[in-house]
Amino acid sequence: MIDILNENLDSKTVKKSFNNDKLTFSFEKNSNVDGYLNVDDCAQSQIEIICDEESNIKIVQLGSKDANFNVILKEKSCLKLEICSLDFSNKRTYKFKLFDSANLLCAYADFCTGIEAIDVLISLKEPNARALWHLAALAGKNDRKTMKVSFDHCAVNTYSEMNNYGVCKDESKISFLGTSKIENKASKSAAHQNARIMVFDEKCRAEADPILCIDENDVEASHAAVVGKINEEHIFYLCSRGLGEEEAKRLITLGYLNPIIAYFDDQRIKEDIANAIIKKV
Amino acid sequence: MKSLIVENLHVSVDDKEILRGVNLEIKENEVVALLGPNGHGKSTLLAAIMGNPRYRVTEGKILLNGEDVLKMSVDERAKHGLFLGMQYPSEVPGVVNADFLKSAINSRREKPIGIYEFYRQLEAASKKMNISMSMASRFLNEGFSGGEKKRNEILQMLLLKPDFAMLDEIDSGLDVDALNCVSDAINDLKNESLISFLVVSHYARLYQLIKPTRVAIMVNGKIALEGGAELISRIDKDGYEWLKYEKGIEIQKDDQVAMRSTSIGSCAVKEAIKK
Repeated sequence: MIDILNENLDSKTVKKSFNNDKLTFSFEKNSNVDGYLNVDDCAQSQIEIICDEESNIKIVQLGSKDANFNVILKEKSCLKLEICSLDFSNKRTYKFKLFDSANLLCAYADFCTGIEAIDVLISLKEPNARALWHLAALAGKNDRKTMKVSFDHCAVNTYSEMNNYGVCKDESKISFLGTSKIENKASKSAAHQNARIMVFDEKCRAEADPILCIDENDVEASHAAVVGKINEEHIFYLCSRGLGEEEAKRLITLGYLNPIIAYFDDQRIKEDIANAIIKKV
Repeated sequence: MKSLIVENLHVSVDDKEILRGVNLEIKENEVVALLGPNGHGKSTLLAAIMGNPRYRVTEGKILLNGEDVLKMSVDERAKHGLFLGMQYPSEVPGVVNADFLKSAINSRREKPIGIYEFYRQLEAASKKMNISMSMASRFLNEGFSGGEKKRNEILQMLLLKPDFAMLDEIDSGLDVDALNCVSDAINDLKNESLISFLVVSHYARLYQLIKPTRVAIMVNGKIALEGGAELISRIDKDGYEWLKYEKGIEIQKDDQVAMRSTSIGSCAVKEAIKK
């Protein structure tokens, strides 16, 4: 895995440009990159990532700094974005534009502390574009986390899927918001939203509000929102086998959050996330 | 000599009294069959003994080897040797079967089980229950068929080796091969140890295979009759109506009303308390 900011890469693979406000990475046609970007190392807060036609890019995004991302996935390009946020919270926007047959997979491991606001808009501009978003977040103490994840289906046969899982403890607050919009003439498209938050304590607050706006008949859409305590029957089941109540809760919570780890490929990052989850749970 | 004694047990669920003075004693290495019409409290008795918080004990005692079970938390009951094989085991997403089983085994050991020893025991139990080892890496009961869930319950029993195992309709939804597999596991465990069983089933077939030493019939939230295996044959042949004419045991009507509105495959008590 290479440091895409600081390491010198072949100009046939990526072109980097800098100015006062904006940092741009242009991944060239057919390029294949497995790298990471630490936003704390970036002088700029506007970061643009352009994946040219048929490029296959994987980026692990690290760091805590506030930043605004503009990401363009051109025809048949593929981007896997693994976002690892384990320290301090931040304010970020992500704007993705996906063109013909582009493919986005975004996994967000959010176990940082503080006040956080994440605003994501994924526009599926051309036919056959696909986007999968999976987020796992844990808030404790006085953390405030707001995640707005929206999709805009503008073309036929586009697909979006969002899975947001949250655990809310102490006096923290988690909000999962977002809209999946299927525009007129975006037929054969599918949009699925799944937002679930498990609340632990009486003083914590959680809201999950997935919205579907459908302006086309021939589509497939679903949304699910669940906010609630740990299932008492699950705790009873585990305790009936000898696990103490705290251990049962811990196992259920880990089970709720751990699936995000599977999206990350780097073993050290996997361990960092697992340790962050265990520490906070 | 180990024993489980239930004395004058009254249990309510959502303020509806289900058990109305149950008396039952199970001795070491006994296999007690518990029968009764739907909705009369069999599952409630098992859940109350295990300590399900939804089932509130309002009166009576449960003693395990002389110790007060009602003062124990659910996990303490398990550590003291109680086990409940559930009719509808929970599906717990995200919790990996193997991790759960290891935690359950370790909960009753001072030193955690070694990874090699754990997999050796798991492999042996899986083989016995005709369960693929791949199930160990799946989430606990999630997406399991009805038969797989029941086999997984018995697999847990084999690994945890309880002193008193309560099995709640463990045979429902099992095909013939799976039923033989489950009954073989029960018989083997009975022969290898001093384990006792309290087994709820509506079907004579399971009882023919595991040969109960005693039979108890629960009606109206009480043990109305106790006897030998001949009671199972009689119920299998004639149902429960004869209890009224031959033994003077009236089966209460309000429970029958609850029965009628309950569909096959659902727990009659759970349906009744929803009303």
